[in-house]
Amino acid sequence: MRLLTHNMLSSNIKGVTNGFPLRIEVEKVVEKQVDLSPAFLRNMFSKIEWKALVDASHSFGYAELPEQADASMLDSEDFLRKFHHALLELHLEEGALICPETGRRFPVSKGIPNMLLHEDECIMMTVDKLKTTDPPSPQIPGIGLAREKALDGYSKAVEGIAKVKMKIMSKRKQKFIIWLARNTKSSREPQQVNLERCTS
Amino acid sequence: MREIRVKGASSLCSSTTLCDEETHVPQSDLVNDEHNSSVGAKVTPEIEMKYVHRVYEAIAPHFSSTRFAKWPKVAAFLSSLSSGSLVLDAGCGNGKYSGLNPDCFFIGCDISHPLVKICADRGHEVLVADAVNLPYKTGFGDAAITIAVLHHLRTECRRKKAIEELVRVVKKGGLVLITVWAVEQEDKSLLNKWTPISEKYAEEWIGPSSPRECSPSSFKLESIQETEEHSSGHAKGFKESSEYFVPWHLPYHRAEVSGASASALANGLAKKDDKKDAVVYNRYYHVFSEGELER
Ligand SMILES: C[S@@+](CC[C@H](N)C(=O)[O-])C[C@H]1O[C@@H](n2cnc3c(N)ncnc32)[C@H](O)[C@@H]1O
Repeated sequence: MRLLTHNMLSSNIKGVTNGFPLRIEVEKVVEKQVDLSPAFLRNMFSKIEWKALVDASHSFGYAELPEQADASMLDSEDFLRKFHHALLELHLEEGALICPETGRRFPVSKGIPNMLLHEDECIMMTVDKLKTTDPPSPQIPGIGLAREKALDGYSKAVEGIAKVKMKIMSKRKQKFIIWLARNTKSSREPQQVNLERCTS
Repeated sequence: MREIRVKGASSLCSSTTLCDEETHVPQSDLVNDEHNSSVGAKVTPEIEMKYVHRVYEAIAPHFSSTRFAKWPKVAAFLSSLSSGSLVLDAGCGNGKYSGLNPDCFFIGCDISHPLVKICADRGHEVLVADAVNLPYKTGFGDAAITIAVLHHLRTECRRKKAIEELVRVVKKGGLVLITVWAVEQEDKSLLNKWTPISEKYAEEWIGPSSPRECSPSSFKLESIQETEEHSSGHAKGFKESSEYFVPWHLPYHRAEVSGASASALANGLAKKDDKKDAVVYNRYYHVFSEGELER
């Protein structure tokens, strides 16, 4: 697991409101060289939470990243190389990721994090509950599902998807449907998913 | 939570191993996970555990060695992405799409550990996660793909949740490419190879079924309909069934390598086909009709 991935991962256990950043338990770190892509680094710089990256790189024993960074530094080759090294060349080979809120441990073995949840950690709902919530009000932005529509589900449930294209394609006589969607929602505001309404 | 009880369930489900199959399970406790369900989107239905996750676990090396043909349209999509994009691949299998565009960086996930291991050995960045519940921050990716995965999800709720998750994890304006098996097949002989999951099956394995409630769609999307190649009407007869078992033939000489097949045969998950010299696994598929994803 690279620190790029660590900067993206967030614990999604039921009830957890801020699952980021996962704490890292380090057993073994390995280095693997990869080609540096300035375009990729520039793109990622705007998404990365810098402090989480710095802290994580420290836990890997790498202390070359500056505590603070701004986009102007991307012009420095030296900075790019360090950023690249921290983001893509250091791998957690053995260890674990720990949910910051619940302390749940996600093992990392042979470089592979296992983020699967147990059933009781998943958000779920009961039909009984659905029946008693009457009428479901659209309290959650983007979710305005009327109860009678609950079973045909998704339609009103998600805003922020625009279908771009749909095609039927065939391969060796097998037919597939291909669907291209676009996220039309602001990525900054957290999109809450209301599973209470999601049933069928 | 309530336990999901399924007749004939495997040892994964401890409640059934204790009770004497049918007799001790009151009908009302049999959960039809599509309808009168007490389980939400994120709880994996037994049928997926058994006929998707465990099957891919058992066939992983063979499945992977046969997966190399790439969809030109998926490849075209990937190469259209701007250089330096982060692409998230949910249900990445053996990672055949990762690295297809060397100017992009891919992070894959799959529910099958052996397949993820194959990706990792090939140097791809991967993790084990459920596409229905992606452990990712919102808006981190530039694009996402999920190729031939959604049809393995058993409930509409889970399929929708997976789409929702994919859209959530890409940035605003980011694109998500989804491909699924279509119910309309030109080649009817293909359908003959699949076993429809009949009412009977559903009753035996999942519980009494309530009628499928598929109200007409009210979803308004700014859509550009491309009806190219679309042949309507000819597969009418198949409209009834959208759930199939699609066989996977694992040749005997491949089966030996994983002890998984021996236990799969022992517990009835797989059957032998001596004519084809193969262990036959059934994979669960929900096949989609055109327009279904838009609902
Ligand atoms: C037909 S394969 C496609 C693999 C790959 N996308 C490709 O095109 O070659 C389906 C894959 O979906 C995975 N899968 C099934 N259910 C999943 C889930 N809930 N979450 C993530 N992956 C899943 C399976 O393990 C399998 O690798």
